Amino acid sequence: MHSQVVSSLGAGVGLRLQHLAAVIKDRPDASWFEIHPENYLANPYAAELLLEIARSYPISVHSVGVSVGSAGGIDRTHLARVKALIDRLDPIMVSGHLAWSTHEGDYLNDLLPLPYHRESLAIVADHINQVQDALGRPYHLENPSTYLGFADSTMTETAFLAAVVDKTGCRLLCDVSNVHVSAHNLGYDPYRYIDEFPGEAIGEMHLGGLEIEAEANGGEVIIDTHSRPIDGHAWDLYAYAVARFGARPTLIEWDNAIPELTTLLDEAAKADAVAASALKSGVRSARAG
Amino acid sequence: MLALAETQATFRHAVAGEPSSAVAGLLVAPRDPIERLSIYRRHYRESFRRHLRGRYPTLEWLIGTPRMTALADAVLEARPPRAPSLAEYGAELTEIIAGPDYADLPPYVADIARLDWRLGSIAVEIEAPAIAITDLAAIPPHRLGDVRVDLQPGLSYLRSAWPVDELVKLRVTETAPEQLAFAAETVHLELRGARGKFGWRRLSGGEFFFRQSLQADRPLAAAAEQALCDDPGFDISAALARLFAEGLATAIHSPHRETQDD
Ligand SMILES: [Fe+2]
Repeated sequence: MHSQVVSSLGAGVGLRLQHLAAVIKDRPDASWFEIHPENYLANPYAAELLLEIARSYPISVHSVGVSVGSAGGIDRTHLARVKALIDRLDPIMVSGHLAWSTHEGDYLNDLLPLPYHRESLAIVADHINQVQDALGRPYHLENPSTYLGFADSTMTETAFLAAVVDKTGCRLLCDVSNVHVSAHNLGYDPYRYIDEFPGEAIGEMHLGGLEIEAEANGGEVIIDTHSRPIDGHAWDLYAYAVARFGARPTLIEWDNAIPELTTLLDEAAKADAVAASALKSGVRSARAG
Repeated sequence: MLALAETQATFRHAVAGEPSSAVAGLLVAPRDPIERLSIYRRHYRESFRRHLRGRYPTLEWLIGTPRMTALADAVLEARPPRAPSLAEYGAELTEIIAGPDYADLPPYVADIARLDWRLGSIAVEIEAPAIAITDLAAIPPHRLGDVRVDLQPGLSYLRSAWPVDELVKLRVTETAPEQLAFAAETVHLELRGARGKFGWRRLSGGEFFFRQSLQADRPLAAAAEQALCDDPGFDISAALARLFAEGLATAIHSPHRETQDD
């Protein structure tokens, strides 16, 4: 049933705590919502509201605490708590980042970058297998936004993602804004990245706002703040990705300076329009756009 | 190639502590990798500062943002989070602010911190169905002393030698903290919250210790004993009647009638 629901979804929006009551009251015309389970684990009131919303809207669960890239292993206690929520929500998708956030039990509350090499590949694949076994569902692994890379990386990010898919059968979440951010920050071509992305594994896409900061050395770095409307470059890259891979359920992420829900829904409608136009015009014109 | 565990140990130290020369050799970026690393360092501190400031609004109002920010950094350094849900992090601040590094602050800041933390925690609870005092009728009178009573999850009991509840009121009404006229006065507070809302009221010492003891899972007899220590005139029958009438009791457990446990 879920695969039918998912294939017909338009763009959804990230559901944050301050919008829960408004969603229940106003029943906005949203296609689906994505939530961070970590916001509900110690908040029975929010969980109660979420379960009510889940009766009317498809929900996708996007964990920011299952640290599949941590060399020290994944936190099974946390995973069990996330699973308990997932079991109550029966979400359309479950996802998380190709990143790490914990080391020796301390949490850094950030999605930290990984070197891409044989050892990290084995560790990430092992952890995703554990997550998928525990949840009994496919996990969607998201490409991260990064500000730096590692000297000992031996693989590109896209090759790494393809290898993880190969080893685990997991699905991918292509965050197009993250591609734009990381490509700018690390100096590679975002369109080539999309060309090399294992598109058949994509189950979901993300779009989020960013901010540009001047660097002391005269350059500019793009910060993945999720605090603004989607950047024009990200829209262009999204059109290109949709033309190349076909439409996928796409999420508007907005986590800081959160506006009214209607602003998020307007961005979602724009994503639907951009996707429809990209599907009509094809890859070449999408890139020219 | 470093083992991943070693890379992450070095990276984590560079984010949460000071960047070492070892980390520079690990990283690549088109220009200066250490400047890029500073983005992660900044995010690490700023996200926790934002979170702790949100959880301790009265404390920040009282001690000012610069001191609150420094305190948040100190908490993060001394007691980094051990679980991934940020919402659950920060109770450690109440212990750290009671320590010698903060002896220059007013004597009631630790109680203010506890009050802030607990108000935030109870506001996200949901109320359980209350039970009636008639549920106690099934217990033989000579067994009543062994009964334990579950209270609503959104309750918390806080005793302070200062009227700290007045400070929360002043903050909410946006009074400047410099205008405080604050004299020591012991208060026994019952904090009650649910579904995004919270409030509090002052209890008599006897009632406070009675309810606090029940919440700590002590049986009725022991709870009454606690109350009598503070107030020799404490009337357990009247206190029980008020507890149930206010909808605070959600279950009773008698060791002699296990069927009551459900
Ligand atoms: Fe994303």
